[in-house]
Amino acid sequence: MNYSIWSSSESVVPKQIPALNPISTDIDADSAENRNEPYYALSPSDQAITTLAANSWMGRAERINEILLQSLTSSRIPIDDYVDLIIELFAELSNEDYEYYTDNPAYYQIVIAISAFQDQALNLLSNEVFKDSRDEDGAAILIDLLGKLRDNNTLALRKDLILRALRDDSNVIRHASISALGHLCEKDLAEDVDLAFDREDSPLLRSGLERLRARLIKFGA
Amino acid sequence: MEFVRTVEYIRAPRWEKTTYNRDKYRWLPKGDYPLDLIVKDCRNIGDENDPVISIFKLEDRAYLDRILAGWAVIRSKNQGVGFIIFDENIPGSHNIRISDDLGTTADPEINELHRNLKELTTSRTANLVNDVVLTGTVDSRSEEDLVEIVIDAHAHGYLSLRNRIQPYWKTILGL
Repeated sequence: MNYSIWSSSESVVPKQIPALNPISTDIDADSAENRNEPYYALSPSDQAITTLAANSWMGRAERINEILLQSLTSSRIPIDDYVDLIIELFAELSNEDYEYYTDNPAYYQIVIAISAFQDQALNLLSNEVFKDSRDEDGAAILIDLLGKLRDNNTLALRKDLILRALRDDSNVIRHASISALGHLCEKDLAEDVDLAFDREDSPLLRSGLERLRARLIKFGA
Repeated sequence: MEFVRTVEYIRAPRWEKTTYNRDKYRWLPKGDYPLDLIVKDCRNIGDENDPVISIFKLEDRAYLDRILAGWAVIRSKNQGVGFIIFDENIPGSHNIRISDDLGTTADPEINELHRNLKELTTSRTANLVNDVVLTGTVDSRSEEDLVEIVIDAHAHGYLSLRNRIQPYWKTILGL
């Protein structure tokens, strides 16, 4: 799959106008009862924007809001602004001032962006995650996020990206992929996990893959 | 005897020496590691005049999950955990003092195992980190793993200091 479908110099007409609440609040039956992390059903609602504003990120929140409104009213996404914004948010993710990365407003803004632009946003993020000059901690956080989103519309692409991360040459990225696969906990991942275990040299990652495999057997497979 | 130090889940691979065997780390001198291991993972919880790094004594690795459970439930969120197990003689070999300071977890027995590394200087801390990466054992527990560990510790009655358990975990434990 080619993930480099956009460049920052072109504008793209979306195939369809993004829905305002595309992330399903329906929790899948796939062992969801065993997961206790919050389920991200954020929409670009007034409430989310208000929360972001409360975190003193008013400027960025407003820019996201403007982009969403423009995309809904003009059928053309101001893509240059969007690319810049996502890259900016990505760099913020590994900000060490936050004890929990989910406290970082950038995290929620990226969730909102994905909820609005779905595949387009994921393709854009994957370009950042897998580029040579990436911030590995930020990339790891994003990969983890891909496993946490509960959105069937983007499931196939998210799974693809997470499995690509499992083959990455960075221990940090592969480690994040193991976490994301644990969030997904789907039985068809077992073969990929087995293959990853066979080629893995890192004791840390082998240990993680072993526990993930056991989890897939217990809850997924 | 060993010590264990917790780090963020996503940072656990940074403490494994195999991470640095790749081409992009050609700039690293042998036995030396990137600055972020100190800056991000060895944060001083004391003050400028009395720097402190928190660790736990690990008398037996069978206690590990119990330590992680006690450590986890006093935190407001669950993002998994990474940890490094290292030999108890490493701090002393770099003139770092080990202080028997009671922990603040929700498990009173685990609190007895808490230690603080003190009299930390730039060179001592760097030497400690380099030795720990070189000889330590790194592992991690995902969010899902941590939930199971906490539920198990609760079932065994280890988390008896309930007022310290954070709301996130109380919900999971049905408290």
